Amino acid sequence: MYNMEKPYRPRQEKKACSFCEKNVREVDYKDYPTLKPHVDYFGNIRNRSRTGICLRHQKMLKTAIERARFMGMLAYRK
Amino acid sequence: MVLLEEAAEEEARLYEFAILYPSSLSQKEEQEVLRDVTTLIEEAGGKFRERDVWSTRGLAYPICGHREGKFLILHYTIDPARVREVDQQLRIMKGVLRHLVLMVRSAEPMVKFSERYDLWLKEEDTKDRTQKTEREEHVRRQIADRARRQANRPQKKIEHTEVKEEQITEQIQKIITDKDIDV
Repeated sequence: MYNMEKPYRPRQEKKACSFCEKNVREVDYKDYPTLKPHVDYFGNIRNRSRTGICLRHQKMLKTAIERARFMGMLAYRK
Repeated sequence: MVLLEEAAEEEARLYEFAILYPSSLSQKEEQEVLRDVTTLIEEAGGKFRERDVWSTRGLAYPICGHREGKFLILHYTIDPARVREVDQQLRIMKGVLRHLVLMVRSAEPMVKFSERYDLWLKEEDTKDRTQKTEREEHVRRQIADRARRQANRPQKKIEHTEVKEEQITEQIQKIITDKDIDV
């Protein structure tokens, strides 16, 4: 019989929301240094499960990134 | 009731106007564009609050053939009924590539992102440089350590045994005369 045991992989720790720690009330589209880490190489917005952001801030991020894309600060698609 | 009507007429909210214009304009044309925009907003009843001019920045994609642009961000208090006029005029205005009109909800003073962006750029430069120098140093250290270890290692002596000609001829004779080997 083949080995039925799965290798033990400890659950990845949930990251804390980096915006909640700083009590950020608004995410500004002009703030390129804060927006850049949340966008991948091709210009897509990163998954919330990867970055650990809460839903409230992710929605703010989304509008900020879309505004920045319209104004030419970020790419729609690389 | 009269008070409410008066209050509704004189309402003025804080709006943010973000404008993108090409960086390849001459100084005169640039000043014209800035003047046109400010006069347009002031004619619509806007009161100046703040202003932030950004240096040339590379755009993520070419807009109207331009790959670099300059941003201008203005904060004005205007009657919300007149904002639409400003928006319509900005769409047609010469020299303005993109514009955004937003309402500013927070009462905090405006953050000047131009300075922040320049600082961030400098930090990234220094980060890259320090990483490169660290990598070079690491490689140099590795090479030095390896050389030191080789120098300290005791060298093995290879023994040379002198072979005489007579011994070689004997061996060859043996191989030739041996019947089992085919030569």
